[in-house]
Amino acid sequence: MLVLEEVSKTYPMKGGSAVPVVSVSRFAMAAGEQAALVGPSGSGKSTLLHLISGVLRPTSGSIQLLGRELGSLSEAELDRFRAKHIGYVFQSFNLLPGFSAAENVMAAMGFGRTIPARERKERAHMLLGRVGLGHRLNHRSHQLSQGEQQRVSIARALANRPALVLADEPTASLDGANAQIVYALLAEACESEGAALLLSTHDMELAKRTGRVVPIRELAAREEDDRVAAVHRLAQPV
Amino acid sequence: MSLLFIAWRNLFNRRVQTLITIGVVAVGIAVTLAILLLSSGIKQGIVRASEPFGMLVGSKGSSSQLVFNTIFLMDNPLANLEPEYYESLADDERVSQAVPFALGDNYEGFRIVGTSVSFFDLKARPVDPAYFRLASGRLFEQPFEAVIGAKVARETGLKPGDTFVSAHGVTESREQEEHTEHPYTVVGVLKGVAAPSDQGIYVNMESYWLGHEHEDEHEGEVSGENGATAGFENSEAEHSAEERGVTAALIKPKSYTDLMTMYQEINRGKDAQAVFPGQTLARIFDMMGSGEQVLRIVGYVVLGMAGLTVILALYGATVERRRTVAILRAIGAGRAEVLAIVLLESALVMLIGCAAGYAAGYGLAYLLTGYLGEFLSISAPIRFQAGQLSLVGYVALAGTAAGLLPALSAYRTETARYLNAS
Repeated sequence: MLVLEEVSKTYPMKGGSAVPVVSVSRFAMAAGEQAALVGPSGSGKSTLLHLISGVLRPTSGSIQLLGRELGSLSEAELDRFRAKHIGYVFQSFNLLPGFSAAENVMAAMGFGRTIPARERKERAHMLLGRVGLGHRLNHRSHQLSQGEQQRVSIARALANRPALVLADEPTASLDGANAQIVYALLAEACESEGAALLLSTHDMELAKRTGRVVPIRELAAREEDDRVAAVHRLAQPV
Repeated sequence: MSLLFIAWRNLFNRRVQTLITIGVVAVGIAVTLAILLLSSGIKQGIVRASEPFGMLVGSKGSSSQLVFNTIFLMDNPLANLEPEYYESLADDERVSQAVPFALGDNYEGFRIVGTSVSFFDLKARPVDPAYFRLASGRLFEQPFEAVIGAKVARETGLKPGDTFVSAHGVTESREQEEHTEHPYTVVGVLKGVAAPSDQGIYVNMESYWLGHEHEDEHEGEVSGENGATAGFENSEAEHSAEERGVTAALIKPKSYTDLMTMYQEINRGKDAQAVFPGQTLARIFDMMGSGEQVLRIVGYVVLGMAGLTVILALYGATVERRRTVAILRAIGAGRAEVLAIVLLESALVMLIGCAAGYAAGYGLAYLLTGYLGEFLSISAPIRFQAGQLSLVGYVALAGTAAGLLPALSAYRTETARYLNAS
């Protein structure tokens, strides 16, 4: 379902040098699989998720999702593809300010256009109900607690029945209890909707709960490094 | 969920800034529109007020003064025309209607006009009904009966059957000499025409002359007391031609040829001047033109400043908006959709601002028209004008186009950079 090969992202510096941010030899995920990217802050976890979502273009390499080579898509096609097939959950929630919980979910459906217009409201309510916010449908983002905001973000990520949900440090802004609840809801909601889940975290306990831990440093393409073998093993579909 | 809804929500989310921007646009449009409406309205009102009067004939002097004191009941009257001269005009076979017009006294500042009943037959165009029509009562039939204008009735409370005493002079002053011997009786009230004629008190020429003869007696007595030789008998004898004269004659010739011939003849002669009010008003408008131009420029400057404020407000909002744009992009909005949302925001601001400004512009023009009507009795008809609507349309388009700058900025926003900001 998701295959990355020889993907790198570098940022040019003054003087012609380039700073490597992400380097992946090969990485793959099967449909419905759940995995956790782990690594310290600044190791490129968020950048890798942006590359997979198409928000950033890689400097080199190939990213395929659902059999489509993302590099071959125009920017407009990539936007449409992302809207339909990828859900995004952020550390800082990133709800649309001034929009209610239901409106945030429906906005994503509006861009995805996979859900018929007449079903959007009902589906938004169902998804919000699934994450325990059935009673907070019309509350605006600033009227919700942080845990509730992240739950809205989960519902929004699943709005268009995506094949893949990317979650960038989804529990980092939450306290321990809330983090557990939100992760459980995220994992359960992805499973119910049949979406694969790739989350980034520096919380090893949380990462282990996904069933597959992917240390980002081990994805680096260094042929002489014996970790390549581990990378290839990790990249096999489950 | 439509892009329009998202744009609306974004504006609502920045409602204070949005309301201020809308307010600035509305004020800019309102001021400019009110200036445009009033300047054209005042011209129309003045021209309309002059229409029934035809060609004015008065003694030699300022043509503007003749127009002002005949049509607008303002300014000091010129010297009287000789009665023989007026008679010769009235008897001219080329004249279809001659109406005498004499100014001299006032009541509470409202000018008393000596005229004939034919004054009430005046029409703007031959096919039109009479311009001056009675709201109540009847026309004057004998001396010291008065027909009063609508504003006079409204402000003095006079009604048919009431009497009043005139004061000498065309304007009200503290120590006025009142003609207590000859009180006027109100017999009719005219319908308002929203013109300076609403401020007139119309009496027949006999009243005017008798009043002034008595005034001369009075002056004679005062002079006698002061040791002067002139006495009542002398003044009686000296009811000179001028005292039975008129300030102006309103002349309607039978044909256009007659009109032009008479106009030239009168102006060639030494006794009088003939004036087409329209011509004089055009000259006055030309004089007013530079002032009007300044006002227009002021209006356009206000409008320009409003435009700059919109650009500033929208551009300032783009900085705040970057994160929202990044979120929208992350949940699937394309660059074109983001561009459209920002343009819709500026279009909504301009649309609401222009609509509010358009309504406020008309409201302001109506208020100022009311003021002009109340204090100057000049009606400035405020009518819908397609040209002004298109001006507002252009402003709305320009303002929306001003949204292109922030829209392009949003279009170029690097999504990844703003997604992780907290």
